[in-house]
Amino acid sequence: MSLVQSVDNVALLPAYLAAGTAVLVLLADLVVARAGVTWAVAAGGAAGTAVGAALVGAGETRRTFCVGADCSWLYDDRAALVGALFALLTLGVLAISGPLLRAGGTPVGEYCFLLACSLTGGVVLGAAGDLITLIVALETLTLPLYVLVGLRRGSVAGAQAAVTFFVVSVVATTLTLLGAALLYAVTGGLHLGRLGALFGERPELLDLPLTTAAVALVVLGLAFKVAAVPFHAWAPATYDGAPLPVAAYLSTASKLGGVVALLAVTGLALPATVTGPVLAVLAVLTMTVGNLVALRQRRTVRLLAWSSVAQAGYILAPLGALALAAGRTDEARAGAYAAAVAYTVFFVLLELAAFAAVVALRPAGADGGTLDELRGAARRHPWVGGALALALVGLAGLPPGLAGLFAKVTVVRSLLDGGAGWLALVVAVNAVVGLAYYLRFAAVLWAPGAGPAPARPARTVLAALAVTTAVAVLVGFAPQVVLDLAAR
Amino acid sequence: MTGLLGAALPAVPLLAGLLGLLLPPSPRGAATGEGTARRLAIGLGVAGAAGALLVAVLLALRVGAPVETSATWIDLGGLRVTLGVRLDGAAALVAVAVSAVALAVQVYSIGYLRRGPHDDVEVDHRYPPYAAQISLFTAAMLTVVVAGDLILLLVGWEVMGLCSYLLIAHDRRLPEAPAAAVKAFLVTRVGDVGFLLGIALLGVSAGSFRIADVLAHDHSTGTLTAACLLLLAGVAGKSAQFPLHTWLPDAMAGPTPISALIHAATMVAAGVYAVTRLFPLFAAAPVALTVLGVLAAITLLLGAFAATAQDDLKRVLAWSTVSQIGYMTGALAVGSPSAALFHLLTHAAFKALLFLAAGAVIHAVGTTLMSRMGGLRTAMPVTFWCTLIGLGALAGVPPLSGFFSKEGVLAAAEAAALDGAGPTPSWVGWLVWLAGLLGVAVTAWYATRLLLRTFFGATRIPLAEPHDPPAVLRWPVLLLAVPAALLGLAGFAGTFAERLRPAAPATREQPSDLLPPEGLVHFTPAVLLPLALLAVGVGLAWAGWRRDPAADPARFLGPLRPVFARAFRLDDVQHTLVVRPVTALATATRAGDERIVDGAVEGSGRGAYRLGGGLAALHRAALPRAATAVLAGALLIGLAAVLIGGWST
Repeated sequence: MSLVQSVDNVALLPAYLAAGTAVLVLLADLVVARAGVTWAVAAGGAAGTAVGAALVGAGETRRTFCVGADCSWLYDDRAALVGALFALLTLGVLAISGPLLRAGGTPVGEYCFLLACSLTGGVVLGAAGDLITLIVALETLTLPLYVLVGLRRGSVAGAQAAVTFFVVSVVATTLTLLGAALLYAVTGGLHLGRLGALFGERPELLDLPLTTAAVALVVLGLAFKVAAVPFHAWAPATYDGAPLPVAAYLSTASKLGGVVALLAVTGLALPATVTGPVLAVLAVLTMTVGNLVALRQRRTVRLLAWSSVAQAGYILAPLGALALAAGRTDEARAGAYAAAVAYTVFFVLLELAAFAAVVALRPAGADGGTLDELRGAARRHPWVGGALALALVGLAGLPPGLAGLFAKVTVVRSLLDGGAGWLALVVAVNAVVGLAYYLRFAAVLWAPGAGPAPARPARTVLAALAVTTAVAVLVGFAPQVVLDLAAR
Repeated sequence: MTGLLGAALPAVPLLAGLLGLLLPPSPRGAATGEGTARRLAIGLGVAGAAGALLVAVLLALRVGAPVETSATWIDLGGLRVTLGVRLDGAAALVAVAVSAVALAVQVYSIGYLRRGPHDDVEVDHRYPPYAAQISLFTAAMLTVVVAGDLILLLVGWEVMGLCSYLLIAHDRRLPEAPAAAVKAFLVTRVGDVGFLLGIALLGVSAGSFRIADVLAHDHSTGTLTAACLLLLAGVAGKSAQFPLHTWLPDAMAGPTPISALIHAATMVAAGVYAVTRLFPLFAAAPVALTVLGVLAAITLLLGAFAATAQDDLKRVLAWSTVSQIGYMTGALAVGSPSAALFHLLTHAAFKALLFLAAGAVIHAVGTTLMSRMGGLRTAMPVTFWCTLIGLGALAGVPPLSGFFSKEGVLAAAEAAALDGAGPTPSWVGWLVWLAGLLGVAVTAWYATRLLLRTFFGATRIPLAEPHDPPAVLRWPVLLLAVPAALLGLAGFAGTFAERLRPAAPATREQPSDLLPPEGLVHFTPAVLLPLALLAVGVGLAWAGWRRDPAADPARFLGPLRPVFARAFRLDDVQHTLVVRPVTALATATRAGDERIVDGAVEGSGRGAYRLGGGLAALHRAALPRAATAVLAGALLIGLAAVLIGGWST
C-alpha cells in the first residue's frame, strides 16, 4: 500500500466550493465591509455550491481517500442530492434572513460566515464514507449553529437557547463517539461499507452485547440531530429563542443532516436487527409526543418546533419497519430508505415555506410571536397567508397540499410493504392528531381580528417564499420526480 | 358518425346546463325579465333543448339497426365499465319526445316564471338555476336513453333524482314544496337502492356492465329473477308504480312546467324505458314480469280511481299519469314492449299538452282548485280546444293518439289473456286486460269531469277576467296539440312500428324478412269493447253534471269519495308503516351517536388535549430536563437493546 494517495479533486469540488464560500465571505466582510456585498457573496457561493454538487453528481460515482476498497469520500447520486439540497436550503435561509440582518443587532459578516461553515459540514456529510468523517461533518454542520442561535446582541432568550442547544448537543455527540469507539473495538473497522460487510460475514459478532450497545449508542446519538424523542427537549426552547431564519435552518438543514447521517449508518453499516427496533421505538415516541405537545402550543415557533419533532417521527417510521423480518428483504429496505429520503425532501420544502411565510408576516427582525399575533394575517396579506396555509395543510398531509399528502402516502405504503401495519396505524392516528393543530393554525390566519397595519414584506423573503411554494406545488403534481430521485 | 351524434345528444343540454349554473342565481331584475343574466339563461336553456331536439331528429332519421360504440372507462379487476352509447330506433324516438317536450317546457317557462302585473314585488324566480336545472334534467334523461352501459345509465338515473329534487322545491314561497321535494327524493331513493343492487348483480354475473354484454350473457335463472325484481324496485320508484307512487301527486308543488317535464318526458318515462331496454332479461324471468303485471293492474286502477275525486286540477292530471304508466307497465308485463313504448310516446305528447294547458288555466285564474273555476270555455278558447284534444287522447277517443296506443296495450293484454301469448301466465293477461278495460271507463269519467268542471257551466270566480295566455305560453301548447292528436296514426306506419320493436329483427340467427314491416295497430272486433266503455264513462259524467252544473259529479261517489280523494289512504299507511318507525329509529340512532359515538370521539379528543398539556408541562425548565432526558433515554434504550438483544434476530 502506497502512503502517497492520489486525491480526486473533482469529487471534492462541492466541499471546496462550500468552504471557499466561507473564506470569501470572511474576506469580503473584512475588505469591503458592506452588508449587501457580504450577503451577496454568501448567496452566490451557496448557489455555486448547489450547481457544483449537481454537476459533479451528474457524472459517475467518484471515490477518494481510499484504503484498499474502503473509501472515506464517496460522491454518488445521493451525496449530490444532499449537497444540492443543503446549498439550496442555505440559499433560502439567507434570503429570508434579509429583514433580520437589515434590522441591525446581528453582525452580517459573522452570520453569513457561520452559515457557510455549516453548509460545508452538510456537503461533506453527504459524501462521508466512514464514521469519523461522518461525525466530524455533522459537528461542522452543528457547531456554527450554537453561535448563530445566540448571535443576536442583548437577547437573553437567544443566549439561553444557545446554551441549551450546546449542552445537549455535546452530550449527544459524546454518545455517538462512544458508540463509534465501541464499534471499532468490536470490529476494527470504521468505514461504513466495511462495517456492513463485516457484520454480513461474521454474524457471530451480533451476539456480543457490546455490539448491540455500540450500535444503539451510535443511532441514539444521531437521533439527537433529528430531535427524536427523548432527545428532543432542546428543540422547542432553542427554536423559540433563535432568530426566525436560524430556527428555519435548524428545522430544515440541521434536521436533514441528522436524517442523512442516520440513513448512512443504518443503510450501509449497522445491522438492521438492532437499528430497526430502536428506530421503531424512537419513531413511535417521537410522533406521539411531538403531536400531543404541539396541540397545546400558543407560540408560533414552538408550535412549528413541536410539529417538526413529530415530522421527524414520520421520517424515522419507514426505518422502523426494519425491526421485522418482512421489512428486511432487499426490496422492502430499499423502499424504506427511499420513503425516508422522499419524506425528508417534501418536509424540508414545506417547512422552509412555512418559516418563510411566518417571517414575511412578522415585522422585520421580530421573533415568531404568539398565534394570536398572526390572527387575521391572511386577510391583510392574502398571498402570503395562502402560501402559509398551503404549507401547513401540506405538513398536515391533506389536499390541496399534495406534496405533503404524497409524502405521507409514501411512508404508509413503505410501512405496509414492510409488513409493519401497526406502525402505519400509529402514523395514521398521529396524522389525525396533527390535523387539529395545523388546521387551527391555518384557521387563525383568516380569523377576524385587529392586527398591526400591513407592512410590505421584504422582497428577498417573498422571492424565497414564492420559489419554495412553487416548487412545493410542482412536486405535489409530479411527486414521482422526488420519489425517483430518492430511490437512486 | 351515428355514435358521435348519440354522444352529442346528452352532451348538448349538459353543456348548456353547466354553463347556466355559472350565471348569478338571483340577478337583479330577473323577476321582471329585464336582467342580462335571465336573458342569457333563457338563451342557453332554449339552445340546449333545441340542439338536443335537432340531434335527436337527425338520429331518428339515420338509425335503423342498433348502433353500439364503447370505450373502456374503468377496468376493476375483471369488471369492465365502458363509456358508450347504444342506439336503436326506440331510443331515437324517445329522445325526440324527450327533447321536444324539454324545448316546449323551456319556452313555456319564459312566460310562466315571469313577474306578472298582479304579483308582489318580492317574487324571486331565480330563473338562471331553474333553466340550467331543466337542461341538466334533460341531459340526464337523454343519458338514460342512449346509455350503452348500465353504470352510465345509473349516472343519468341518479342525476335525474337530484334534478327532480331541486326543481320540485324551486318555488320557495310554497310551504309544501320542500317537503314534497324531500318526499320525491326519498321515495325514489328507496327504489334506487334496488336498482343499484340489480345492476351490480347483472354486472357481476356478466363480468361487464355493457348492456350488450349483459343481454348476451347466459345468466342463471335465480340471478336473473333476483336482478329483475331488484330493478323493478327502481322502476317502481321512478315511474311512480304502486307502492312507490306516493311522491308523484305531492310533486305537484313544483312549477307547472316542471310537472309537465317530469310526467311527460323525463323521470316517470325513465322506468318504463329502462325495462324496454333490458326487456330480453325480463322476458326470461317470468316471475318478475308477473309481479310487474300485478303492480301494473293495481297502479292503473288506483291512479284512475284516485283521479276521480281530486279537486286540484294538477292532482287529477298527476293521478292520471300514475294510471297511464300502469298501462305501460301492464303492456310490458304481457310481453309487448313496443305497445308500451308507443303509449309512452303518445302519453308524452298529450300529458305535456295537458299540463301546459293546465298551467295556462292556473296562470289565468290564479288557483289550482276546480271548485273555483268553471265556464272558461268562452274566455279561453285556445286553451279549451287544446285541453279537449289532450283529454280526448287521455281517455282514448278515436282518432286521437291515446286511442291507438291504448288499443295496442289492450290488444296485447287480450292476446295474452285469451291465447296465452305473453311470457307470463295467462291470468296476468286477464288481470291487466280487465283492469285496463275498467280503467278506460274510469278515465273517460274523470276526464269528462275535469273538462266540465273547468270549462263549462257558470263561472265560479266572478271577479277574475280570464284570457288566453300570451304567445310564449300559447305556442308550445298549440304545437304539442299536433302530436297529441295525430301521433296515433303513426301506428299504422310500418317503419314507425319497426323502430319501436326491440332489436330482434337484426340478429344473425334470424335475419330480418323482406316483407314490409307491419304496423302496430290492428283492429279486431274487440275494439268495440273499450269504445263502449268509453261511452259509458263519458255518459255517466255528463249525466251527473247535467243534473246540477254547479255541483261536482264526484258527489255520486258517495262514501267512497274521501277514500278516493286521499288515494285509498296509502299515504297514511306509508306514514304509519315507514315514516314513523324510521323517525323513531333515527331519533334513537341520533341519541346513540351523540352520547356514545360522539362522546367517544370528543372524549378521545379531550384526552389527547389533556395528555398534551401534561407532556408540555414536563418540558418547562428546558436545559436540565433536556440533558437528563438524553442521558436517561440513551441509558434505557441502550440497556433495553442489550438485554432484550437478539429478540428480533
